[in-house]
Amino acid sequence: MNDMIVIQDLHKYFGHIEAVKGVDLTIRQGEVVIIIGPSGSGKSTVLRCINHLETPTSGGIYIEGLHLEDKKTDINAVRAEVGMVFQQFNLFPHLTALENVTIAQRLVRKRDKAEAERIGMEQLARVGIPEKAGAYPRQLSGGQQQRVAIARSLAMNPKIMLFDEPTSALDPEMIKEVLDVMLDLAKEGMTMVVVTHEMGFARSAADRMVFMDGGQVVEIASPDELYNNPQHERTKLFLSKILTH
Amino acid sequence: MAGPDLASPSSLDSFDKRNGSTTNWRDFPWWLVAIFFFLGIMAFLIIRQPGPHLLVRIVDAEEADGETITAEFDNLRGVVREDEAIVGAPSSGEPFDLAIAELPEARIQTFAQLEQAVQPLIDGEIDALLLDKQTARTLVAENEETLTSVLAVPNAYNEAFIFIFPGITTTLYLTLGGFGLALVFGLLAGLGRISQNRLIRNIAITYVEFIRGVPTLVLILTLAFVIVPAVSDSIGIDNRDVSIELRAILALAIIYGAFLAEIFRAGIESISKGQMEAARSLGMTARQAMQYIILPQAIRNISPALGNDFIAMLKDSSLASVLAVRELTQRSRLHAGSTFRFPESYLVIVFLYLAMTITLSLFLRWYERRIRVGE
Repeated sequence: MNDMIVIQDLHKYFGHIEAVKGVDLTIRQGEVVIIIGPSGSGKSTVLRCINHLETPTSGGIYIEGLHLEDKKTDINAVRAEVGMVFQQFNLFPHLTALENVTIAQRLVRKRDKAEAERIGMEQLARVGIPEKAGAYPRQLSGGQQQRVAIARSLAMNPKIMLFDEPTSALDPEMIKEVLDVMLDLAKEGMTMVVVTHEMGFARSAADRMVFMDGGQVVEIASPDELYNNPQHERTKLFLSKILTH
Repeated sequence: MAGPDLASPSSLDSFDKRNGSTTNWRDFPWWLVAIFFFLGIMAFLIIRQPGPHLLVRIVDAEEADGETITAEFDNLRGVVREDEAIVGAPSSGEPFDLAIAELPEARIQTFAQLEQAVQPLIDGEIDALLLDKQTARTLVAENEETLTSVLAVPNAYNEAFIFIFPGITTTLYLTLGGFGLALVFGLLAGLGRISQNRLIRNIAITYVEFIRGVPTLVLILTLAFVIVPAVSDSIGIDNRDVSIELRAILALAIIYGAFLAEIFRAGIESISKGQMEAARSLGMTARQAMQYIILPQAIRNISPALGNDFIAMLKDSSLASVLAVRELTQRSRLHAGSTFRFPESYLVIVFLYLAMTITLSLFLRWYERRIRVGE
């Protein structure tokens, strides 16, 4: 399989604080990689560097062989291929669900209105809320908003989807509806990088799991290996804390 | 554990009711009643019917094309213009004290009787005859050579209003033109304030701080008489071709642009960072994200503040009177200067400005409440 994302010796400073201390990671096409770790471990920063919402202090990120730090790389074209789902949904509140899903298609993909709406409705149907096309974000529940946000990214036909703690801001009963959508996406062969604390989801969706701590990758393993036979003390300690309840 | 059961439905109910009824009266907008009381009185003074007409004797009818006629009373010589008012001063320097007779209406049945009654005026036995407008018109038509009519009690508020009111088009033109341009300047300077580019950012800050540090009136004079001539010279336009209205609009726009810049900046900064990140993560350029995602939300948030500045500019357009632009204030100054009717001249523009601003600000309150409900 082709390498979709290659991260080489990634370092990221915020002021004097080094949030990411030399991360190397290669993600292949169709692979679902789930990053776990305590807060402040740099996992969200790594994710945000993949589509350049954060600029790496040093190191290289390659998407399908394109070097993001290269001045000649059109970052907007790369971002159009990399969908991102945020913890806080970040839907555009002045637009309806359908307009949220169509605006970037029209501005970036240059699709005409009819085509953008057709694709937008397909994606809203895919996440299970076609009937909410005309609703504004404030009229939707958190789970519905997050599903619209996923549809918004999928409508761009991305090759990679990034999820930054997509269920952390949701009420417990809404988490499942979002995870179900993500699970379907994983089964369809989407390349996904997910930062999450949902261990059940991780077990059933992940091809590989990455455990990060203190800005570094501590351990990379399949879910079964990581849960049943973690190699590092730090990993054991973390898992014992989150799996016991 | 005996004690008042504060949470019982009945006690809450009665509290709600009591609270409800007192709140209603406490929140009653008495201030609005007071303002509309003033507006009502001014409207009454302006539209009030003028008093009866005076029929007076003409001594010299050969003045300019029939519009200006000299009429004479025993102790007053004055010029009567278009049947409207007596302009001039008593020739003897004595107060306006005429021998005025009232036409005894009951006696008059026919034209002959009317002419009979007017005879003392023509003969000079009385100075003037007090009667209603229609009869006065008829008699003047019958005796064009000898008689004319004037308003006995002209409505000075109405006169002031009629002279001043046409200035409202200029006032609105200045305000709308100035505000439209100010929105453009303000948006550009507001975006400049938050630009990543250090040069652009510093230019924008210089503009905003410079304008905020100088009095508005001084800026208007400087822009109109120093900056405009200098700029038009350097680009080869005759400075006299730049109309005074255009200078006023430019001055107001440049001044308000600086204030609007701060509002736009605050509005853009009030939108959460996640909005820009979401837009950029979808592949939009920074410009597209600003235009389609950030600005529509920011403008909605700041629209009440923009409305307030529109009202402020409507008021500040009066400063254009120092450039002799014939807007409301300048017209009322002219009227006051030529008639010495200061209360009438100035109260009329107080009325006009207040009527406009209070209407706008009530609309703004309503709109603000509506968008807050929408959130």
